[in-house]
Amino acid sequence: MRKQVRRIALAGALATVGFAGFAAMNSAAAQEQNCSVWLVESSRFMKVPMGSFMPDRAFIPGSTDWKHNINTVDLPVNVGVIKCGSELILYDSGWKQQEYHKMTGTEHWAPLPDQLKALGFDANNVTKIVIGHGHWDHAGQLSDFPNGVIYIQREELNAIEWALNYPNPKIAAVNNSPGGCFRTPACGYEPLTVAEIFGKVLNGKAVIVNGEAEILPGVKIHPAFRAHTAGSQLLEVPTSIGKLVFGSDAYSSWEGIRDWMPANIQQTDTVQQILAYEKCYKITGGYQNCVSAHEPLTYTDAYPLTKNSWVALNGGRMAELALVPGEKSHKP
Amino acid sequence: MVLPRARVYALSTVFFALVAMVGVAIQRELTPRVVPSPVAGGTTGPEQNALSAEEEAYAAALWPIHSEVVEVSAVDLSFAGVAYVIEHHDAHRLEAQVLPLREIFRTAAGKAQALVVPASMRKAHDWYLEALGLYETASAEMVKVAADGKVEHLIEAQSMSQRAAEDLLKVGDVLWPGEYKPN
Repeated sequence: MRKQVRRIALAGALATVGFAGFAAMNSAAAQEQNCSVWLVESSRFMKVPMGSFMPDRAFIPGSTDWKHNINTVDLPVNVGVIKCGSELILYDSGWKQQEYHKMTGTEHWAPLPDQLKALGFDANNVTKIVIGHGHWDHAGQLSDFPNGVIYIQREELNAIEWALNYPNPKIAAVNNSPGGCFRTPACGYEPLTVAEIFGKVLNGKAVIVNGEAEILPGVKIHPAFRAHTAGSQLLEVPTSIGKLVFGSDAYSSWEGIRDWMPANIQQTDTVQQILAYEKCYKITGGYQNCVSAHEPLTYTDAYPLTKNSWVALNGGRMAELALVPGEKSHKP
Repeated sequence: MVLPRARVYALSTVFFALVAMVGVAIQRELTPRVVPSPVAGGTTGPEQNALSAEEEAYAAALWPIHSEVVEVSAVDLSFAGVAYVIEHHDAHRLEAQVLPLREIFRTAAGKAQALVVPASMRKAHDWYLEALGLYETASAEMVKVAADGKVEHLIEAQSMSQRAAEDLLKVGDVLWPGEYKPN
């Protein structure tokens, strides 16, 4: 009798422990989910002088130093495509000034909705668009994602307003030279980009972020103010290969993050950019999982996170960075 | 002294192998090292045709109107709407911001119409004037919010502003293609 009681009690205890463990696992899963992540090359700026991209790596003719022996680079414009459960998120949204593509040596552009279709997604199913910063080449095509709610820092909007109201026309929100933006306190907020942001605000499809924000369990916005623009923001994404951190132009160069060198210093406070690099090290434990907007090595073995890549529409490239268990590969 | 045949062959082999190694080493030192481009290069796009002297003059005359007045005012217009919706909700404040912009667009259109336009730039010029007309109408539409508070005016204005901005881009790509360097 006593043995039977003991057995029943033991079985009950084991069942309770098992049930508690199962419940805890489910709870943890609900708390933080993993996401599948892809990278899409919206277009590619061709033959950009290396020194204008990374001042510390300016080309020196005849130099054999790896830091100074590259004259020009081709810069992809990378857009993050992130699937977390039923949510489809874009980090940045590329650009679409087609006439410019034809005339100025920018190659391999394709409309982002078409690129998503090639990846197996529908533009209408994009639920969130996190704008790394509001420059025209990172916050374009917004109206092509009618259901996407944009997330933009209030600090970014404040900076646009500051520039609009600045009494000296040399400091302007728009490109103030036929040669594009120079390193000025503000630039690059073009009429079409701001009009599309206005459209999202009017349609109730805009969240104005104040600093940190968790937009889904484990998917977190981190401010990186002045790491590129006044209101730059990073996006932390949990995946099966660890956390990734997207950085838009705060992370223009992955080699820059690796080597602690500034890059693409448009309106950048380089101190803040280096501190933004450090955020990626702290969040991910290193530099390997930092996702760059313009790294020339993207889609090659030399940037391991992005090496599972292929050529897609109009010669533009894509990469599959991480999959949730059970998610089939979208690589053709 | 006569060496055994096998030893001769062995020494000869070693000698010629050494010569070959030295030769390869010299060749490598003399050949310039080509650092591969980090990105497999795509094909370069078509060269843009250079503007003629008349076209350059037209582009140069339009640039101050475009960059110092029209572009800034266009962004101002959209941003006034953004600020109204997310911040102050004050229709009279919106009106006060937008009324001067309507006048700015009208004045800019007058100045643009007075420019000497080469025949080859007529289409671009028409796009530009169309954009200015849309912006002026959009401004007038936004001012109506002060009268009846209806957000429909802003929706209509935003649609016109977006079309106008696309027109500006079409012109810009013809006249000032370098305007959009990477940001």
